[in-house]
Amino acid sequence: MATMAKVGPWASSSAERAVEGNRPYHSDPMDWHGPGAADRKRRVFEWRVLLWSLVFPPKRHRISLTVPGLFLMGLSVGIGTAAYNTASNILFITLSLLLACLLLSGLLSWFNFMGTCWRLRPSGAWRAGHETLVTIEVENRKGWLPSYSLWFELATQPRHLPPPEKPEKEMKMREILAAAEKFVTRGRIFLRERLEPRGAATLDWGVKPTRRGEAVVELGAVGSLFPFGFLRKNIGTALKQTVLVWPAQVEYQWTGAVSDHAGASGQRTARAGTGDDLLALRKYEQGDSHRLIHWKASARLGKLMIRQFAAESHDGYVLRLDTPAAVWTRPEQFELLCSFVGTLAEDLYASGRLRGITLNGGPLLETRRIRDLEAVLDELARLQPVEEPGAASGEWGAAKNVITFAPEGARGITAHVDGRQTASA
Amino acid sequence: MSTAAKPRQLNLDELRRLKWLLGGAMALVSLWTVFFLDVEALGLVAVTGSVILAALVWPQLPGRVPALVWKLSVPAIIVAMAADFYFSPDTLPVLIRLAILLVFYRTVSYRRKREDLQLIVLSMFLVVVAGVLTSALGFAFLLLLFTACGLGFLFVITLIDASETEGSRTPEAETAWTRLDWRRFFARLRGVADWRLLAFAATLFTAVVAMSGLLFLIIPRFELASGFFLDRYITRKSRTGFTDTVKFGDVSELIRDESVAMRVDLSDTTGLRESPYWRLVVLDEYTPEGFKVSAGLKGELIRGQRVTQQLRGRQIGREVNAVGGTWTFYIEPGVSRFLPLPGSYSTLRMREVSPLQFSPGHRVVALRTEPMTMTAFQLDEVELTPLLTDARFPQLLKAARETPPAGTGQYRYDPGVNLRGPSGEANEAVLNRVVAEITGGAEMPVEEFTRRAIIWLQSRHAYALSARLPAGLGKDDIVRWLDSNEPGFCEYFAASLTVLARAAGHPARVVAGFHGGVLNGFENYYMVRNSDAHAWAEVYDGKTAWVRADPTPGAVNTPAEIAAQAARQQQDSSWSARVDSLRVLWYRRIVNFDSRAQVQMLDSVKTFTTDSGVALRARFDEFSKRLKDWLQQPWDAARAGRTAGLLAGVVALGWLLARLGQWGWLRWRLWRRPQSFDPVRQKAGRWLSRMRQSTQDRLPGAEDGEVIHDLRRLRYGRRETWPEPRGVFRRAKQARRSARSR
Repeated sequence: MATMAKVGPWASSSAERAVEGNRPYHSDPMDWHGPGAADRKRRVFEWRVLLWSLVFPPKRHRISLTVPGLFLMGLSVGIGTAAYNTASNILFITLSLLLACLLLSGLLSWFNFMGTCWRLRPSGAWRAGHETLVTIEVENRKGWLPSYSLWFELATQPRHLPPPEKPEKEMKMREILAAAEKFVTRGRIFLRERLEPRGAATLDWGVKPTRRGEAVVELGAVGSLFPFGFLRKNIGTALKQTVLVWPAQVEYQWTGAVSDHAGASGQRTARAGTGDDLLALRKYEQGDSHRLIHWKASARLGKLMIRQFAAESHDGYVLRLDTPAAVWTRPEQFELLCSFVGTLAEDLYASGRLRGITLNGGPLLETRRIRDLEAVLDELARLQPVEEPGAASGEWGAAKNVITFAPEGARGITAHVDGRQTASA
Repeated sequence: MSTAAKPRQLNLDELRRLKWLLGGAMALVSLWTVFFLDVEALGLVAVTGSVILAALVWPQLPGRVPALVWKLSVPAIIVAMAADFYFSPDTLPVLIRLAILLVFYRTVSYRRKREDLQLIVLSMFLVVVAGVLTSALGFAFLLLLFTACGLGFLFVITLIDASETEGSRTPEAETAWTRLDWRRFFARLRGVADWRLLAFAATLFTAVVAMSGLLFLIIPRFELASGFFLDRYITRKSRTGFTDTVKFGDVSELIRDESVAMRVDLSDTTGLRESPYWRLVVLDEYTPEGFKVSAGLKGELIRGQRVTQQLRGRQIGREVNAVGGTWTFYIEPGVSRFLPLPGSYSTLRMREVSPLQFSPGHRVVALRTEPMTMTAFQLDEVELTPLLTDARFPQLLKAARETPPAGTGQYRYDPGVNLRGPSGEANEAVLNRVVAEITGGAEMPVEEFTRRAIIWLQSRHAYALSARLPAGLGKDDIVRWLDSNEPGFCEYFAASLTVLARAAGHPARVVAGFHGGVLNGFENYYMVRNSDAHAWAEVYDGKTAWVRADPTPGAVNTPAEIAAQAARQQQDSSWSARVDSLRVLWYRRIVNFDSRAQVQMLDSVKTFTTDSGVALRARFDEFSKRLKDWLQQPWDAARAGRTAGLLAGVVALGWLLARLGQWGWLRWRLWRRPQSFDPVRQKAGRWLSRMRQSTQDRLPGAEDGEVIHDLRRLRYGRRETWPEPRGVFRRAKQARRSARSR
């Protein structure tokens, strides 16, 4: 699925970038790529390089003939043969015109790509089994020539592919290639309207990742059939971005066992949360809800300030997740575990009952803000079985309301609070 | 969604409408080329062209045709083609009619991409075949028009391809483009058109034409095979008057036609003192309907046939008074298969190896078949003379008198045919009476007889384009006319002189061709029109030569008359002559461009380049020498001061001009796009580039980051958020300086 939205001239998007933060100039992660990218190194002009580029295409540039192009070539060969056979200058004129049209096609194709640049931006959170969008921003930096008929070839695949299954019998080449393509999702999105000079466009590619973990999104090539459909020109980009795919959400059953140590209601805690009592004011950080902005304080101080409330005085849960390889031997069950933990963490956070999570004896990752939850999900995305999980330590070592997880049978997972089963998936 | 202005571009339906328009235009251009061809298809072209035009204007019309009709169209075309093949003697006209039908079918039906490409191929077939068969100048114009339409058509197809979304559309949506209002459509086209893009497209098209011209010149030429292959699939007839049989009136019909029959390029027009007689065909056998090429002469031509590119006309080394330099003939198709020869020549050279029929005694050269395209050939060392030397003729005539040829050898040349005229008592009686009247019963040489016969004819008959034959039984037409006072045309005069000479015992024959022509004032070539068609006689002088005798009133026969006529030679500088000169340029530079011309062109380019280089070098050497002499002159303070002042003035003027140009450029840019041009932003951009270069190889410090941040704010940010520019630039300078020192 591809949708397109327009943005204004590129200068304004660069303005937004300019006011974002004090990031060093040369370490901008969202560089522009393509013939019109300003960050490209300008080489010293050399005739040798120019002449060679006319004969041999640059690296990753592919030009192939389409069916009409093949037909045109065949027609040119036929007319050329007839011209030499009959020494008819009329046929020579026709042949010259056909060859000139082919040259014009190449020249216009070069003009079409000139001044265009693009960048890849996987947007939003990636979650296994959920459709997400990959955004491509395209700009035409030419002064007065538009660009037409561009397409973008995208692909996504897990960064670390699972080991291939041992084949029961010898596989044919087609099967081998199919096996290699099994985890790769490819797509092509088209820029259907022309790209105005000094204009920009945004294209979205909907993709549904299938596996948790690190995934690579790649913009493989930008192509076009412009102008006459004789030649298919592809500019390989090798533009990659690594994204983290969170575990999928799963259905689970919450039996609702309450812990033994419920605190007194109304008791204030010194921890930030979603309660009603104002705890403090702090500087705005990206991700904070706009409803929490303290406008008077912001106007006084000249910067955005956020109200921070104390947490409710009920006990929050701590999720303790240990993944010894000896216990979690089945990969599907392990994936279910990660999905279960992630889903449970989100649900608990949404209801304000999640204090934090600890993974394999590591420190407690407190979840006060949405960003903390996202960090937890990032950890879950990367989580793998370990040989020896560390022992629980620190203040929460003897804490209460700790949810632990254990396998149930060959496929199930159970969650226990203080030794009592409270949920299962 | 962005708040940017919506781009001006055509939507999918408008693109489809534009594609329909371009496809129809392309088809009409290809049908137009059929008019150049002499095939029986003009009615079909008229009908199909009208229907295509109607479908162009009302694109919804094809949608109203029942589906059954579309399904039956292709079988109907196949049946029509089969019937055409069966009934037509030639293959190529059938193929052309088939192509017309297919173009028509594809143009008026709603097409998808594959069918669009079929339309292009079919249209191109018509255009190329017409061009190859006719080599007409109009083909060049139509080819360019077709190329422009074709490229636009392909461009729109590519845009439609890119604009079409996946998923099926309803039939109404598919044909929505046919219901667009033309006025609104053209208004949209006008709104979308950008003059810069149109100018760019026009420039590119011009570049394509120039590039194709350059490719045409440099593509190496070498002939792989002889002969033009398509002429085997179509027959063509020559105009009457220049065929093997010329009936009385055939030549006169041509005189009413003002179209150009041939063009003759002369490399040297000086020395040309007379209007040439362009001999095409020799008609030596008399029939009551007219004169014709005898079977014996035909047989001689066939026996003399050879496949060659060059013929020798005269013996090498013979002294002649050659005029005109090299004569290059461009004969329009349909004139004749006989080649016009103005006189004796040393060499006849065709454009390519061709089968030629040749009779040296009669000085007749003919192609084997009627040519479909323009025929070109060259003659060298042409001598314009009224005499045609035939050394064999006396022996042949003597042998024929002594031993009359047997009836079975009908294709053997019989010189006695030049003495046979109207038979029968009545005819002979009239002829003998007239001969007696001319000679007065005395013996006289051939020249004298010819002169008196011409006077006799001109005194009794005036020239007119129409002749009324008097009644009379038992006599041939020519004898009846001879014996009357009716006016007549050139054929009657020539035929009359011939039969009179034969009756007097002098071999004579009729020759048909052209006489005269007009010099084109633009390109210096002879334009000979069909109206210059003429017939005259040749009388054997009793020794070794045939003497031209033109009895038509107004013809010039004496040297004095010839000189007077040459003085009156006009040049045609009218508009039609100007247009006609383009045709000669087309023939000269394009159609006749062969490997020899290519080598000549390369030689001339090489010579020009070499000469230019030599001239440039000579000028440079001279300049260097003068400068050296000037420098070596004694120097004093005044001279040094003057020189320094001059140099300073030149430098200052150059600097001033550069600054002025820069100022003008900046002002123009500010006028053109004021919103994008800001000197502060420009300077900030320049500083950012410098900072990027200086921080490239090392980690940036905190100060650098702050300066870069401020520079980016100046470059990209809103004016209200700018820090003080001067301070920023000063800090950037300091940061860069300190970066360099580190």
